[in-house]
Amino acid sequence: MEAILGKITGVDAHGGGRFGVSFTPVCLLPERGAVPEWLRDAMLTIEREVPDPREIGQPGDSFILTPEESARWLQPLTVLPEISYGQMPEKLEIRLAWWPVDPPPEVTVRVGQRQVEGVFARRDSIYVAEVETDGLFSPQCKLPAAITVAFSGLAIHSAVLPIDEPFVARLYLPGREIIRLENEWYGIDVVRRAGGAILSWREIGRGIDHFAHPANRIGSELDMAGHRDRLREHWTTRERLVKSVLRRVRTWREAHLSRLRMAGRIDKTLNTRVECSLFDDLPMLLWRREFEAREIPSRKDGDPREPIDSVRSYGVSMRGAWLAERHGDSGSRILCAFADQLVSLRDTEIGRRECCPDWRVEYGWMLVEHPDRRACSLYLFPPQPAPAMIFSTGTMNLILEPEWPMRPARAGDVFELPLAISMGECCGAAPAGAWVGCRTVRSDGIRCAVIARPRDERDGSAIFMLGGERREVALQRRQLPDIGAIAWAVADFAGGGMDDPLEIAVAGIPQRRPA
Amino acid sequence: MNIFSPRTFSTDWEHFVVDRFERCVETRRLLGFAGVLNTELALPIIVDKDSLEFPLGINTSFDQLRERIWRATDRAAELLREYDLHLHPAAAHPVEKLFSGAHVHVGTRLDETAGVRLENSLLEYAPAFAALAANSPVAHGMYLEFKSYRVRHHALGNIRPGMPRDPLTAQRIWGDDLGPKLNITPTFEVRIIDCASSRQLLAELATFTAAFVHSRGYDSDKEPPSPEVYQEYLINRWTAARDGMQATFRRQGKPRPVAEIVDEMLDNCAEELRTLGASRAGLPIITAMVQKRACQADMVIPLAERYPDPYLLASAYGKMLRHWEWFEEFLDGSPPLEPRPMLDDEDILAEHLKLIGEGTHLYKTREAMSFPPPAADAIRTKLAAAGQIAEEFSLERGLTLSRKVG
Repeated sequence: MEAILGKITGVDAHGGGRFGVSFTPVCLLPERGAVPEWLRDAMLTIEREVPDPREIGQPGDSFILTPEESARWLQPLTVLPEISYGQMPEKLEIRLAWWPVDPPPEVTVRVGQRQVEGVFARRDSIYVAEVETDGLFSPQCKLPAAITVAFSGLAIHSAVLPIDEPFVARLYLPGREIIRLENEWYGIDVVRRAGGAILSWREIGRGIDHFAHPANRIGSELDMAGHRDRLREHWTTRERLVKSVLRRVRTWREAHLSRLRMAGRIDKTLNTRVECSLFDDLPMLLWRREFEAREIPSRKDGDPREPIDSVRSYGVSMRGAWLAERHGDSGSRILCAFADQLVSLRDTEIGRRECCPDWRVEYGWMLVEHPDRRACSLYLFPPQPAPAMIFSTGTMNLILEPEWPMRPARAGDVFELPLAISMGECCGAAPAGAWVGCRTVRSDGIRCAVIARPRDERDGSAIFMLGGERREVALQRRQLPDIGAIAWAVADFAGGGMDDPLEIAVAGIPQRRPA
Repeated sequence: MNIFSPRTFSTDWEHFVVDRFERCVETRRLLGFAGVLNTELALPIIVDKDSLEFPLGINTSFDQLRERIWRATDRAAELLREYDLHLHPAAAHPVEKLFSGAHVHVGTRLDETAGVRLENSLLEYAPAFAALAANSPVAHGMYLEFKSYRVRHHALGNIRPGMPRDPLTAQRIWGDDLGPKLNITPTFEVRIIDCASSRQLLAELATFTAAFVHSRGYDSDKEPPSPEVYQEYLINRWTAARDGMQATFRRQGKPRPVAEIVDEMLDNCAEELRTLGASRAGLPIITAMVQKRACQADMVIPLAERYPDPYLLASAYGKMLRHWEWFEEFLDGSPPLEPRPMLDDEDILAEHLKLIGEGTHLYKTREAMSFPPPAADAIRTKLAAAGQIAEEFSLERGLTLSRKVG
């Protein structure tokens, strides 16, 4: 999360160890990027309680705020409701936590060509504008839709999303722009930065975010938790992709899929594209990364060239990161199969990157399990070529970053990384395959599903047990482009609830039990 | 006959330099400042691994070293302030992956053979210096489990546990906790010491270290330590890193608080302290540290507890570090701390077990206390015999260990 670094202009003792600190915002941590336009030349004040005022410093010194302290200045404009379902809210409450000019200018609420103005009035320490939404929407308006709240160069959305209907929508929420893909299982937030990445993966049934971030902690959110891809050009992974923001975004719906395509240029020699497809009926996201090599310019026109002068070596890898559980025997771990053995990996030392280049992850799956919070992530990928297993333990997280073999690329060559990702509350893993199971609430009960990658492609079944009921459902097969065959099954329960224990076994692979 | 003549000493004191974006200034920008200070102060000030290093010349007395510490740091702080920069004298940084030390060079010694033997005889004392100097309870990604993460993590390869050596087969090595260093200056270097945040403490610490090493200059014919004594050195080194001056060391299997050991070391080098123009009474900070079992890390811990975010901590910590007397003030106001119990065999097993997750490579367990192969294998055998770990072998991955549940 970002936070303000300021320069102190004054410190006033308020008594009882409390001090008022006046400061001007200078930059945003952790990247030390520029502060937003509205904070330039602003003079801000905050109170701190410290036993020794020397900790604060004196005029001219730097001063760092927490992300929570920074929020009112970095995301001053908020709207209630931020998201509504099914129908447009009758009224919007627009809040302005802070503004350099008093009174602040009018706020505009807009849907398409229709717009209304709102006037801010002071309420306690903030400004509030209430805006009726009559006449903004036509009755034929299709959902998802967004009400744009625009104010002095700032723009955020109050989103109106469909109920019980999958969708994909581009949303501007306070402090972040996301593309949300949602079905009955997941709400997945993708961002354009870091070359296109997954910032949040909310399991709708349980309301948990598999990529939850630590609260009130300065740092890159995607470094701490989320999925992003990586580009290797040398011994180590270069982070050119991390600094790229994909410019072209297209979202659409097609038969049983919500789709997103983002593309952009990393630099003169490389383009990238990422495509996401979220199934309407399955708890699974398809994620496909492509890189396209472009011509490497000559240093001088007329310089002699050999074919190798137009070649670079590239490799792709992915980086999934989750907040780690570290409780001795029951911590977060990675599971995969190797040489007909189930391998479980869990490191205990912070900052160590475990790499075994001779060890290729076979069978096209890897599973990350957090037993205490019952969260599991299954990654499916092409069985060949197999990636090298690399993982590490960060300051607060577990990082899975398998690497696929590098290869030479000339202008026009495309190299890609196709993945299928499923997350849920329970899992099974064995040399014979792996699966992830999850459930969601429907109007008529509970729906449970599994996504599996069994090695045995013969018919098999999934057994679901919930609330004393048992269902045995035949596994269905689906061939995913480049990734290969997967199996899935869905079971509906009229009884049972989200709090009842869910037991699943798939193709003879039992559910793993937390230690 | 003592191998040190004439009696000289110095310290290479490393400082991060921080700007008002709270960034540690990198080498290419620091080089110019080192050049100016080098010229103005007539001291060989250099840049090493993104830190400004103050080698404080050849000193023959406590007062001389003290005067140089003050003069060098006053001028450096003044010069850096012109560029809105500040010295950050700490052994680790909460955000950046950096460690810094205050290596003490003890001279003058030309006989490398005697130096290697002295190294062997001084190994058992290295953890006491580590405990006294512990000043890195927070480092990149690591909070408050150890009082010296720099020693625990071997300063990212810039220090490492020493090894008993036979002069007949010894090669030049670099980076051990302590040892002879003839390739540049004819000194015996003690590297294990964390960067000090207090100028007065640094002056006392360097003088005490030099006096103690001088006092052992008669021991250069001693045999290398036995495997048992060597293993205790490794255990005590780990304990010093975790507990600082609250540590209780193992000496022949028996508990011995490090405060008592330092107290005894001070007594044992009284004559050598006098030669360097000092005395126990003239080392008030070390005396108070021994009495209160406190080290600089204990001063940082409350600050780190109040700032769980590393960026906020770095900022507040950096501002406190501008006040050279911060540690003295802390010592004056702090109550005595209790010694922590000695590590017993069960504790040692547990610390090794902590490093074993699932599929942990055998070699990672060596990182617990840097035990040599037979001792590390014995630990593994005990853990396996107790049913606490399982072993797996494959040609591709080698021997891996997994903790058993329960």
